[in-house]
Amino acid sequence: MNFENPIIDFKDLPQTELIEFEPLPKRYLNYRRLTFSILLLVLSAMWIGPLIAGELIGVAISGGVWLAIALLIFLFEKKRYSQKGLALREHDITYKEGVFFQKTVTIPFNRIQHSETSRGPIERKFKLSTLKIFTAGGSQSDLSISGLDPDRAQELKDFIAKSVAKHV
Amino acid sequence: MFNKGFEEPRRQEVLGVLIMLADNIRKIVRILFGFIALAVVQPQVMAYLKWVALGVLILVIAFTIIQFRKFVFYVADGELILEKGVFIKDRLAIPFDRIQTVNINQNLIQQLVQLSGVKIDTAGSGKEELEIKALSKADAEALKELLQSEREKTLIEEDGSPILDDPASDQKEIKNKRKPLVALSFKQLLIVGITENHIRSGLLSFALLWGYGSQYAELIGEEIESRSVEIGKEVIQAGWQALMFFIITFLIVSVLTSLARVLLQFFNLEAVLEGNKLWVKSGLLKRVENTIPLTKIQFIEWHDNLLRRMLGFQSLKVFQSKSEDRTKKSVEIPACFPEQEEVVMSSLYPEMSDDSLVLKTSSNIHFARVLIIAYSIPVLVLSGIFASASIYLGLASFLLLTILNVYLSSSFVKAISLDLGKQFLVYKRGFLFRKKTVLPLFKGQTVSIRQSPFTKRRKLAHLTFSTASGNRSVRYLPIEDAQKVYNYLLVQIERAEKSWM
Repeated sequence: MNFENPIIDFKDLPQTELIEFEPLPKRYLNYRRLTFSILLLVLSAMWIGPLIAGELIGVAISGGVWLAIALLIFLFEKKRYSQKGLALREHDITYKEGVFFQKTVTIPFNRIQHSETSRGPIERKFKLSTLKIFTAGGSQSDLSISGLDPDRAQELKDFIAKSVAKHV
Repeated sequence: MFNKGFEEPRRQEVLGVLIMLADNIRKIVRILFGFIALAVVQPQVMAYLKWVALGVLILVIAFTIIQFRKFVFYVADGELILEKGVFIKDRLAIPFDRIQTVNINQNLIQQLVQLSGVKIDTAGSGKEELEIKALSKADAEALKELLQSEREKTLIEEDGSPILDDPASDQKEIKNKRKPLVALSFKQLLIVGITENHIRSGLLSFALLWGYGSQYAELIGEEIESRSVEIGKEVIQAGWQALMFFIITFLIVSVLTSLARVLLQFFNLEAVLEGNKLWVKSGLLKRVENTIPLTKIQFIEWHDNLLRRMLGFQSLKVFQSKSEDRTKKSVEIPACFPEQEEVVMSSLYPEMSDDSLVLKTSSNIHFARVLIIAYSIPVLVLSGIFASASIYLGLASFLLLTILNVYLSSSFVKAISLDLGKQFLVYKRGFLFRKKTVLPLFKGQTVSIRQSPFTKRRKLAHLTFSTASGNRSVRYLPIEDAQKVYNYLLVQIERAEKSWM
């Protein structure tokens, strides 16, 4: 009887933890910061109010808080941007994100149903695109990657389409 | 019993009128449900509706009698023929070789009048209902036997192989094709009902009552408010008695709801493995039939609880890939004994018997600490309430509840285990209510790993695997193990060439 039962060496498996991730374009960081600037603009009411009323102490306190929020958001966005990454292997696509709560997802090409790219008005101004990857069985396992270069997104979409076609 | 045979056109048993009548009334009530609901709210409509209802009832009875007289069936020229129709005569001919399965079932009314229904499933018959609803038990058995043996005969004739050379081997072949798995008797059904998770169904029914109650709260609100002050005083006086009363009511309601739910859902449950399909049929008022091709099964789950473990059975949930029109993705077989478990496993996953373990891992004990801390909040609140009555009572309950918390939390975490086999993943968890998920690796779809600052510091991670029928997460795994499972699962999915959905 020809029976083999070798011990599996996990080091011989392709290791996802060693993947080099490709960063998103720098424009994505600016895009995120701009969208938050709109929020900051609304929040600036908190120091403009005292300014009109002429309460200098109020301006100082609320202005300080406002500046702190702005700084935190900008730093957080920078960190968030640097944590995002995308990697393509022959058989799957891996995406990671998250500053405090980090998440890494891998979707094999032979389990992808279809993919699509979309662009909002502000994304268009920044030359950015969102790639959505759909799997079977509900939205929980779908993947949405925003802040991609449009050409890259299209490339990925075509690549996925080709790989998916191979498996059907 | 069937000295008449089935060659001559014949009607059903006379009491079948009652069955058909019940059926027709149910259909009418469903159509007119809106009016009936209106009548309950509006008394004027009620008075008027009584006469309408009487008229409709007389019409329905007359219709049913004609319908019964027009319904005949017989066997001729390799076909089962049904003739029916009150206004338009309808003739259905079912060739034997198109018959997939023949099932005998009894709903509540059929049981009352001691008759059985014979239901015939055909290949590609769509939604056409092929059912002879009122036969004596002996006739039903005879018809089923006849149809099945005729079907086998035509199939063998087509194959060109000799007809019934060796009855024994032929019998065996039929048995191989068709494996009855579970047929739930009424007694077993009651046991299932009694061993349900009552607290869950109790909470559910209270939530439901609360929802209904709040709708009418405004109407009766004032009335209650004026009385509630008085009642409130009494309640405080009653104290423990009131609490006991509430708890007992809750328990009774819970048990009754579970019983009712189980009776409605699983009445006369029948599960059959046939070829590459699993059939599950059940239901009291509405008989639900599920046909699951084995290849569509994504994963299965075994559930049990303390009581069921003592009685030696568990329930099986079969998860199939979700199509757009089907919202329900799992089918439950509530009572499987060890020998049935073996049949299920060996039929669904024959390759599992020689599947060897690749990695065994489980949640880290840090998970228990997280649980203990989380549950210490309700413990504090509860013992605070007791402490307001007496400081000693508070201390005692705090001590007792904390011991219970520590014990349950650590037992819960200890019960978690993830076994990675060569081709299968077996994920066990639960201490009082045990769950066991069996997933063939190639049915996986997406894998993800999550880490929070807390788990990262302790070198732990949450692992989630998604399938076409939902996700399962294993929390607080050692990060190296999580990575190993992650990588191995991906390799197995990417290497798979079998269709998985």
